[in-house]
Amino acid sequence: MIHRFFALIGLALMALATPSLAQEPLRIEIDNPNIEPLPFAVPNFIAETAAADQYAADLARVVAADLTGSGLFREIPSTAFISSVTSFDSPVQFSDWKAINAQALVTGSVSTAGDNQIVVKFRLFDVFSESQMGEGLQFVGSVNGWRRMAHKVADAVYSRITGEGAYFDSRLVYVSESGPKNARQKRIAIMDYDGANNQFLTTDQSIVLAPRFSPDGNRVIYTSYETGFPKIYMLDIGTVSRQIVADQPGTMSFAPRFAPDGQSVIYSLTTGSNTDLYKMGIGGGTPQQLTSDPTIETAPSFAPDGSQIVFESDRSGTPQLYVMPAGGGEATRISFGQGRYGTPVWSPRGDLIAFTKQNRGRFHIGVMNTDGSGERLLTASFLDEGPTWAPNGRVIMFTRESSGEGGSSTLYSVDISGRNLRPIQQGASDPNWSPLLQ
Amino acid sequence: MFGEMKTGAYVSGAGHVGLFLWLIIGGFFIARDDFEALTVTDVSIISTDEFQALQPSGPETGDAPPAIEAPAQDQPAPAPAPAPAPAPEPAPAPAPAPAPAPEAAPVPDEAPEPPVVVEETIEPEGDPGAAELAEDAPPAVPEEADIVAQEVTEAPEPDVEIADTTQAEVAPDEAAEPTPEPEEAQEATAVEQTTTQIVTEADETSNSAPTISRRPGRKPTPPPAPAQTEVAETPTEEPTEQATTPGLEDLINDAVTEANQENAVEDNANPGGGTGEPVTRAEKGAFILAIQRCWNVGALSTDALKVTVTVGFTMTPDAKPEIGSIRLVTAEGGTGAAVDRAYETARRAIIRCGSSGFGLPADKYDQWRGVEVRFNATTKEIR
Repeated sequence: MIHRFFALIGLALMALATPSLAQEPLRIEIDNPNIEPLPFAVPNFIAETAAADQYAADLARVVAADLTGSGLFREIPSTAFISSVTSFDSPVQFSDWKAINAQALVTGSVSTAGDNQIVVKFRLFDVFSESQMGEGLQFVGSVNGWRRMAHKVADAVYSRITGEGAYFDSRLVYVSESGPKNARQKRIAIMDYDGANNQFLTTDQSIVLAPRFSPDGNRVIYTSYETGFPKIYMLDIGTVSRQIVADQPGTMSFAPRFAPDGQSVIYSLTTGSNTDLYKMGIGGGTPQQLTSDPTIETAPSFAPDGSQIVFESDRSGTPQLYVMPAGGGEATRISFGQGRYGTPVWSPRGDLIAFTKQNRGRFHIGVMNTDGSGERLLTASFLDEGPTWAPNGRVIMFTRESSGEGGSSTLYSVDISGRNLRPIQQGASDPNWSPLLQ
Repeated sequence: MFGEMKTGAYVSGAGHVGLFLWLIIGGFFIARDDFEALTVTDVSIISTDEFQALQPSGPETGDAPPAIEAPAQDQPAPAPAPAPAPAPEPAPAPAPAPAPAPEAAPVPDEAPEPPVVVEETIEPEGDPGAAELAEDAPPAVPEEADIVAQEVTEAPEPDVEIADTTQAEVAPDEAAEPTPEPEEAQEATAVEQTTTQIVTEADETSNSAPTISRRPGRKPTPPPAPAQTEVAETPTEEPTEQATTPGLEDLINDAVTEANQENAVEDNANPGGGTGEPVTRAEKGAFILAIQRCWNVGALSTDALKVTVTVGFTMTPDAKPEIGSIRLVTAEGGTGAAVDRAYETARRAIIRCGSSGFGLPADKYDQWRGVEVRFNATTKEIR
């Protein structure tokens, strides 16, 4: 051993004494980056036909609003522009955009076609590299769908620069609330992720709760009290037709959620004094009981691969989070922090679980790894609850309720880093984010 | 006589020298394979305050979950979809009946918008070779422009104070009629726009908040629960800490490598005619800051934040990067798109802040002609 030691020491001394012959580059390490939104510019799109003129500016505004709203980008106002884009195919004057520190530039054009169609084209440039990022894209759709086309442009830009999946071309289903707290009227409503195109799916004649999208985004499952008991209904968004899903006399069913394959739902069912989790095919049939504890098991959510379920249970004395196989079986507790945990939702990426936490008189939205480690609280307020994930697993939306008699519910979104907390829609609660639209 | 004494002195001297050598390196020629392995650890001197700060604080009072830190990040996926077992039919039981509500007639709605068709891709005009960032085409070189600012902002208000909310400045209205209680002067404030730390509102403190949700319950009010059984209380075991102490060979190898690098800097001392002095720490530090100023990871994906990239490039004598020479040398902590995005961000930083030169000493050009920068963003990783 000691021989080896002296031999190594000798080698080291020789190495120190012998100058290196190779030309080595100067090596440095940087480990303290800045965290700031990326400055970008989106000049108004070029209207290639007279009829498309009305959309040219609107498209650019929606693209800019999407990117800015993500919290990862910052728009440079058009008043700072030095050069203008007069033609979609004209060369970009990179020096002019560099001068205003626009690090990304989006140029686009819009033209009309027959049958109420518009054609939207765009390109994305890395200004300081003086090169185009990826390939330009062209979308064709109806004039009524111009906002969707803008969202698609923004999605392409967002994904190309950040590396995250897209999420702007998506929708939310939620409970629209109106009236005072003691007589609040609730309706299921649907809107674009940014609050546009709001539409109601039910009337305000009964209490409705917990609307959830199907994996294809074409159906919504929710709980309604219209018969006096909580029952689960499934509604086709296209036809607005609906059917009851879980209807066992003398029972109460609630907190439904689709399986990732869309062919079955899991939900809570109360019989007598006990609440357990059940699974049932969307076409009916015999429910499969997944838990059998004399406590309350609720708020189930599938892992995206369908192999596991995370849910809330008070079997330990306080509401905590548990994970079990999708077919039932032994559950493993994953929440061990102080306070009460509820409404867990598995990320579409499968890497995190979002939850509501109540501790020391405050409500939080948080995330943790699927084994319960790495808990991080993203928000804190009088009342935050009911998180839902954006299709890309980067953004969370939830309900924030203000205090007092005149308090109201508002949908908020937050980046999973805890940055970019911002309100989305007032008079709304219980949001559920759709998958990316097709 | 003297010869005999001399011989004796030689013998005595040799003997003493041999004795001293044996004492000094005694055991050197004796195999001692039963020695315990040496453990070499770094030792650093810390102050009393630092030592106190390292001591564990009292009982856990925060929100962090105890005892289950850092098992494997990736959840192993069990076999999906076990065969459905026949479920016992839940016994029907009378349930608390909320007030019945009349039938709700769904409001007919507009059909969803027709899908948008992605029709075709558009070939880039003008500079087809510049379509991919990874291909470092020589710069087409429009006129270089100075960066006028990090961001475009309006002229700042004088002495605006950073605050949590934005509020306009309000000054007492001197022209107005005097009132018993004149308006109090209020300084203008503005929200701080950027940060180097991610602070969520969960860090703030609050005194007034409900203890339970006031919204309608997600489930009916349960009856008093029967005696509860503690089930599935299976806190995960603490992960065993892996030995992280570097071995002796590693330490020596590191020392050799570092020495070689230092030598490289010094020995590269301008064979082309420079001063021969190495790049100083201050010059290196200024160089690091010059690139760091433009390295912005605010728009990177969570996966890309886990990637450390080493980017190499060569510089012109006026300390500007040759854009065509910028290349990815190595990447750690990720693959595919995450590496690409991390590299693009690093590349952008080099180009942006290098456009006006990094200000390195020209007489040491041969030492910084080639550069490798390791961009490590994992300190900002969203964990």
